[in-house]
Amino acid sequence: MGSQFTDWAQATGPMYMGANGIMEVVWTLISVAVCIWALSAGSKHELDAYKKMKK
Amino acid sequence: MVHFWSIKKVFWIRTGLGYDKLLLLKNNKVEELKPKEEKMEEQLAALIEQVAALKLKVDTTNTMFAETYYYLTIPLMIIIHAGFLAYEMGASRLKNALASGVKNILAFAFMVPTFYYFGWWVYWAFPTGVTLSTGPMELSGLAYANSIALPWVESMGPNIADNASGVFWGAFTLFAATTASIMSGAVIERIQVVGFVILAIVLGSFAWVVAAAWGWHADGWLVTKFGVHDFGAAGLVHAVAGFFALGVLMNLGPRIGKFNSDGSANHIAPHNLPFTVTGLMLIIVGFWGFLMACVILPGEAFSWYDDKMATIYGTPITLSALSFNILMGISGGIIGAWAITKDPFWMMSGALAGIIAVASGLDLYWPPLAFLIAVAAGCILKPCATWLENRGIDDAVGAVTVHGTIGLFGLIMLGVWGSGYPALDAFVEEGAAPKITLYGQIIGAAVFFLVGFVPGWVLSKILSVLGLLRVSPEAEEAGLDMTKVPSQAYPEGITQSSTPIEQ
Repeated sequence: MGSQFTDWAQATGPMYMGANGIMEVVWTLISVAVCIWALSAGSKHELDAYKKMKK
Repeated sequence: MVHFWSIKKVFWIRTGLGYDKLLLLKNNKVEELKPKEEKMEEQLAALIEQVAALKLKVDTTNTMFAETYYYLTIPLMIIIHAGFLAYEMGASRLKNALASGVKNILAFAFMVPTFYYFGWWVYWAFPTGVTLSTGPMELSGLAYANSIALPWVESMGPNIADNASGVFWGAFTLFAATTASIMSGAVIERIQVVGFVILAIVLGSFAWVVAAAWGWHADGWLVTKFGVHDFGAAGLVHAVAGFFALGVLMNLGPRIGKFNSDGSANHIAPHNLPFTVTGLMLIIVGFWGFLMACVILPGEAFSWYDDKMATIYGTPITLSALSFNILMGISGGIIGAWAITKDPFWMMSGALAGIIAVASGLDLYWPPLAFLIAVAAGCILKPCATWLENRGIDDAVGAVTVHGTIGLFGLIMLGVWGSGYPALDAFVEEGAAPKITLYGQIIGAAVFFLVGFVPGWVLSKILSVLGLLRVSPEAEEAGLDMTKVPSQAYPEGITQSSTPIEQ
């Protein structure tokens, strides 16, 4: 991603990587997906643990 | 030809018929003195330059102070979570101590990204209700929220031109995490982790945020129409979280062994009461950061005023007011609870209840009155918790009572004692501000109760139907630490001292 800045004097507003592009949305959606995956995997681990306890 | 005109440093130079140049002897050099008007213009320009430089420095200092002020509220509020962590782990039995900790840590972890994704947006979009229209201050509504709070706009990341968005978002995120922690203690020892995290996300990144938009925003309809005043969030944070927890507890059910077949309750003792009590004290430490973050500093683009601090409603406040009334609230709550229970758990819960009872009017109470209200909160704490327990609700740490009941008590107390104050100030025409009234505070209390209880009950019911709410009875009896963490908090056990000190 990098930046279009060639020196810091150009940084007068947003200075994060990928500013003013499409990547903000892309990284946001990927991070949402990671949260959902973590919850899903956590739930599976938890329910498996309860099943194991029943046996 | 040069004539000696002054005995000191000024000389006239004669050229032709008259004196037309003035010379100044300065540092042993002769300089030309310019006509008066020209000199004044130069001095004025230099002065303007100096004033501009000075203003820039003052503005920079003010901005840095404001940014640092809110930044420091964030670690202070993280102390609240250290406290809730200790509180819950200590309040759990030995077999569940770590599982309670895992649950609490995860609530915090999921609150941060979800509040970034949509919680912050909800706060700015919803103040006028569910229509997402723009309010009278023009600081709310769909378009405004989209411009400043969607997770992909310029203000939601490193931005050299924006020293405010990140620290405000951070402080609000910690408010959100506090609501999740309030619920967390009530449901220990039998709730599934993932089910709990889903509940925490809905409470922290949606339910309380809607309450805040309605009652803690200058465009909020509860403020503009009913004059609701809840400076320290007794209703919109504490009561919402407390009654959300009640809704969950009704579907979750009590811990195995809590109630006998005749309905009488058994006391399930914490495995580490000192840890729990210390945790409560940490929560109180953290609340100084929470309440500090409720103040709007002057002199910035986001400020109500250039010359004085204000509440979130634009009404005046000082940190001295907070100091008087928070300390009086803590003391009153402890003394009230001590008078009734003599129990250190309830005494420290009383301290928290004392702060919550006066939180709505920390900006306005006369300190001895705040003390008396807090004493009353400390006194009613245990009876209210017992009343709830007698109805089959197993609230392991008294969260519904401390935060829910006392939160509403505090909100209504401000209506009793503070009626007549203007509920808004900045940018409102003189005499046009809605007034604080008992009626308005009761309306606010009812709304906050519903905004907490209804989503808590509905969502927990859905999770229960899906099998994601309660752990299996086998796991509950065996203990959640070894079932799913899997680890023991004290692998070498806890043994009594072989040589008690009194022997």
